[in-house]
Amino acid sequence: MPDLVVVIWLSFRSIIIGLVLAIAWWLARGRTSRLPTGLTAAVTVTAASLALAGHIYLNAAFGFPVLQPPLSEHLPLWVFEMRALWALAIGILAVALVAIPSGAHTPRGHASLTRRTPFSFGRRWWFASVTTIVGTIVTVSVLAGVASEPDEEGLWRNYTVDAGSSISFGTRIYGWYYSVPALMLLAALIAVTIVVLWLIARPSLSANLDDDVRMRHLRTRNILAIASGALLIHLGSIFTSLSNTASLRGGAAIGENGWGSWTTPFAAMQPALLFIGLGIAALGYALWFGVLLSAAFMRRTSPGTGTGTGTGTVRS
Amino acid sequence: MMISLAGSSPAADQIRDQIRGLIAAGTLAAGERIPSVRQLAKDLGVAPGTVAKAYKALESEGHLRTHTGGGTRVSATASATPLAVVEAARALAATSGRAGVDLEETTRVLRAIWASQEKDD
Repeated sequence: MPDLVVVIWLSFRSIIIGLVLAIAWWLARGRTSRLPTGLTAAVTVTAASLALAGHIYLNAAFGFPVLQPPLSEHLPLWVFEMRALWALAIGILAVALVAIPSGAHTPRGHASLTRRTPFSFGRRWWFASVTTIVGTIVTVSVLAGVASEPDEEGLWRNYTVDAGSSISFGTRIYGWYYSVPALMLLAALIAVTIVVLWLIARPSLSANLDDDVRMRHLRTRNILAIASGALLIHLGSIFTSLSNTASLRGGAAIGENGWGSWTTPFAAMQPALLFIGLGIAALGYALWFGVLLSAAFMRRTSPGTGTGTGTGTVRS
Repeated sequence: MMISLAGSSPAADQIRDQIRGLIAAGTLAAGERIPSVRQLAKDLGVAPGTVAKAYKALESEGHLRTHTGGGTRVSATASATPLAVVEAARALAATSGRAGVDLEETTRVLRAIWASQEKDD
C-alpha cells in the first residue's frame, strides 16, 4: 500500500500541488471573481473539467499501463512518446470550447467610443506573462533541438556524450523530433486564443454596460488562464524531460584495471531542471483548477447587481 | 464615453458633433485611439460610410488624425487634456467604484492629496 501511495505521488505530484495552490487562491481571493450562473459558466466548467480529466487520464495511463485504452498497438506508443504535446493539444480544444457563447448584441443607436480589440478586456501583465512563457518555451526548445542528433531511425531525438577512444553514451533528448510538432501546436494555440479573444471583444456592448464589460473581463481572464496553463504544463514537461537527459551516466573500462565514468555537461543541473519542471507544471495545473473553481461555484445575480474583479472599463 | 443617435438630423452630423463635444470637454484625450469605422458603424447600426464621413469631417477640422495601420486618434492639438491624465482619472473612478467610494468623497481625497503635494513643492 505505501508503495502505491508513492507511485501515485510520483505520477501526480504536479497535479496535486496544483490543486492545493488553486484551492489556496480560491479561498484567499478567488471567491470575488466567480462567473455568474449561466451558459458561460457551464461551458467554462465543461472546458476546464475536460482539460483536467483528459490530461490526468493520459498521465494515469502512462504510469499505470492497465488504464491504457484498447487501441491499436502503435497508436498508444506514439501517443505516449509525444506526451509533451498533450497539454498544448488539450489547451487548444479547451480554449476553442470557451468561445461559446459567441453572440452579437443588436445595435441600439448608441455606442461606446472605446476601441475593442482582443487585448481590450485583459490586463497588460496577463498578456506579458503569456508572451514570457511562449518566449521561454521557444528558447528552451531551440536550445534542446540544437543539442539533438538523429538516432538510428533518423529522428532528431538523440543526445550523445563522447567519451573518446570511440566510446560514447547516448540517451533521448527533447530534440526537433518532439519540438517541431510542439511548436506548431504552440502557434495553433496562440492563433486560437487570439481568435477567441477577438470573438469576445467584437460584439457591441450591451445596454447593461458594467455587467457586460465585467463578464468579458472574466472570460478573457479564463481563456488566458487556460492557455497559460497549457503552456506551463508543456514547459514543465520539457524541463522534466531535460532533467532525464541530464541524468545520463556512463562508465567504461580504461586500460587493464582502470574505470572511467562520464556524465552530461549539464548533469549538475539535473535536480534543478526536475524541480523547476515540476513547479512550472504545478502552476499550470493550478491555473486550470483555478478556472474550474471560479466557474463551478457560480454566483447568483440579479440585474445590475453583479460583483467581481472586472474593472468596468475597456482598455483601448 | 458613449455616443447616441437620436432625432432627425443626419447620423454623420450627430456622430461628428458628439465626438467634437467629447474632445472639447476633455473626455477624449489628446492622442487617444477611437474605434475603427467598422466597429462604430456596427455598434450604432449605421452604414460604414456614415461614420467614415463623420471621421473625415473631424479630420479636416484637425480634431482627428488617421495613420495607415495605426487607427484613428484624437489629434495632439485638439484636446487640452493629456491622455495620461484621462487614463489615471478613469482608473481612479473605477477603483473608487469598486471600493464603494462616491464621487464626492473621491474628489475630497484628491483635493487633499493635491494640496499636500503643492505644499511639498
